[in-house]
Amino acid sequence: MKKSRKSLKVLILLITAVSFLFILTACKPWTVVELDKENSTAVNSSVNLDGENTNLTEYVDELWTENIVPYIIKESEKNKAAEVISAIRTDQENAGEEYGIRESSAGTPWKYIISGEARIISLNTESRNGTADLDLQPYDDQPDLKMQIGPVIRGTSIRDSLDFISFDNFGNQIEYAQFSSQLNDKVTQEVLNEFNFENLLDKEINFKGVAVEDSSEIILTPVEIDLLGE
Amino acid sequence: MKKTIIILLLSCLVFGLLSGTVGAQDKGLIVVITPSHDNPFFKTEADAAVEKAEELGYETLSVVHGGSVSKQSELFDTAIARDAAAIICDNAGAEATIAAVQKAKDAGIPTFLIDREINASGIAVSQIVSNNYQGATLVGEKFVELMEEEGKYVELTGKSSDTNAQIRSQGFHQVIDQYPDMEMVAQQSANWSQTEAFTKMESIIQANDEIKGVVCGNDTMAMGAMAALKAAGMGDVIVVGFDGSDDVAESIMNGDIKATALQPAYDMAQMAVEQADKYLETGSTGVKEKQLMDCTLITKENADRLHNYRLEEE
Repeated sequence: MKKSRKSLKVLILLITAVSFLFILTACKPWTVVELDKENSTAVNSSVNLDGENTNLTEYVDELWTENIVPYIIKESEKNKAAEVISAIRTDQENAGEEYGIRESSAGTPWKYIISGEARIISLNTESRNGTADLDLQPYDDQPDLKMQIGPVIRGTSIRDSLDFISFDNFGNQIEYAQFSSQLNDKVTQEVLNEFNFENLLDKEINFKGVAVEDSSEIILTPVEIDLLGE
Repeated sequence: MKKTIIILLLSCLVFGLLSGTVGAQDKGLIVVITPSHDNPFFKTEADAAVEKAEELGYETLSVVHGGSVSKQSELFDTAIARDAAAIICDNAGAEATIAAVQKAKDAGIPTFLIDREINASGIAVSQIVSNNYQGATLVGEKFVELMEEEGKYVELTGKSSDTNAQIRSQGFHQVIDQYPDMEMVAQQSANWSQTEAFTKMESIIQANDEIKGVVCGNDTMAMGAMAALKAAGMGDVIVVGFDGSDDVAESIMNGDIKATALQPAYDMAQMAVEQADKYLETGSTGVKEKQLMDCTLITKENADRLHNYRLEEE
C-alpha cells in the first residue's frame, strides 16, 4: 500500500515534469529565431531618417497627405501635359531644364510634374504593370501618354520629383528605395484602388502626377485622378 | 643694358618654370584604395581615378585592400603617414570603414568614397554611390518582361558578406515578387565567381528541368551560368547579370545573356577626383555628400556601345 502510494507520487511527479517539459518545448524558449532576410523590406520597417530611427510607414502616411499630394497638385498646375510633352518630343534636355526636376547628378532621367485632361482610349491590363493610354485634348484618338494603373507600379518617379527630400536624408540606398516603394504603394491604395478602369474606357479624366520618358514613351504615375462630367 | 634685360627675362623664365614644377608637386598626393584589380570593374575604377588625378597635377598611389578591413586600415595609415592630400576609396565594409575614414579626417585628410557607401554621414566629404538597388530593379523589370511574367527561375547571389550582394538581391525581388506566377526554384550563392556559378548551375539543372530564367548578382556569375546552360543544351534560358562588363556586352551581342545593369565605374571615379580637387582648392565640393549614380540597363539595343564600363554616346 505504502509502496503503491510512493509510486503514485512518483507518477504524479513524472507527469508534472513531463507536462512542464512539454510546455517548455511548446514555448521553445531556446529556439534561435532566424534573421528574416526580407526583414528590411518588411512593411513596418524602421529607417534612419536624418539620423533618427523612424517608422517608415507612419512617416509615409503622414508625408503623403500633408506634403506630397499638396506639393504635386500645386506644381502640376504650372505644367500642362500637352505643352510639356510637346517640349519633350522636341528637345529632351531643354524640356528638362524648363519643366523637369532631377536629383543632382546628370544621367538620371528628368521627372515632370504635370496635369491635364484626357480620355482613356485603351487599357493594357495583361501585364501586372497595367497601363491606360491617354489621349490629351484636343482629342485625335492617338495616345499621348501612358498612365500606370497598377497593381504593380514601376520606377521611382514620385520620390524623385520631391524637392524637399533626397538620398541625403536616408541612411542608405535600401532605405531610400523602400521609401520609393512605399510611395508607389500609396499610389495603388489611395489613387487607383477607387477606380475600376475597365468601366472607365472612353471616359474623360483630369489627372495630376509625375511623368518620365522611358524608351520614347511618356509614363505617368498619377497622384490624383478625377472623373470629368459625372 | 640689353644684356641685363635678357638676363632678367631669362631668370624670370627659369623662376617661372621652377615655381610651375613646385606648384604641381604642391598639389600633393592622392591615394586610391580599391578592392582587388582581378575584377576588371575595380581596375577600371582605380585607373580612372589615377588618370584624372594625374591630369589635375597630383601625384598618385594606387593600392588594393582585397576586401580586407584590416588591410584597408593599414592603407589609410599609409596615406596619413605620407600626408596625402586626399583619399579616394571603394571601401571594404559599410560599418568597418567608418573608423578608418574618421581616422583620416582627424589627421586632416578628406576621404571621397566611390561605388559603395558607409553607414554614416558627415565623416567622408563625398559618397558617390552606385545605385545598386535601382540597377537591380531595372534588370528585374527586364527579366520579368522577358519571362512574360511567369515561370520557374533560379537566382545566383553574390558573396553573402558583401552588402551589394544583399542590395541587388533585394532589388531583384522588389520587382519579381510582385508577379505571383514567377516561381523561384533555387537560390544559391556562387560568391561572385564564374567557376562556382558554372558548377552550381550544373547541379541545379540536374534537379530542375523546367528552368526558364536565371537572375545573377553579377556578370561573372552570369557568364558561368550561361556556359553551364549552353553545355546542357539549354542555351535559350533567359540569363541576366549585373555590372556591365565587356564580356557580358559581347555575350548579349551574341544573343546569349539577355541583359545587365551598367555601373558607371569610370565616371564615378573621375567625379570623385574632380570633387576632391575642388574641395582642396575651394574648401567645398559644391554638391551634397551622398550622391547616387544611376545604373543603365544594357540589352542588345545598346550593348555595342559598352566598353570598359562606359556607354559611348549614340
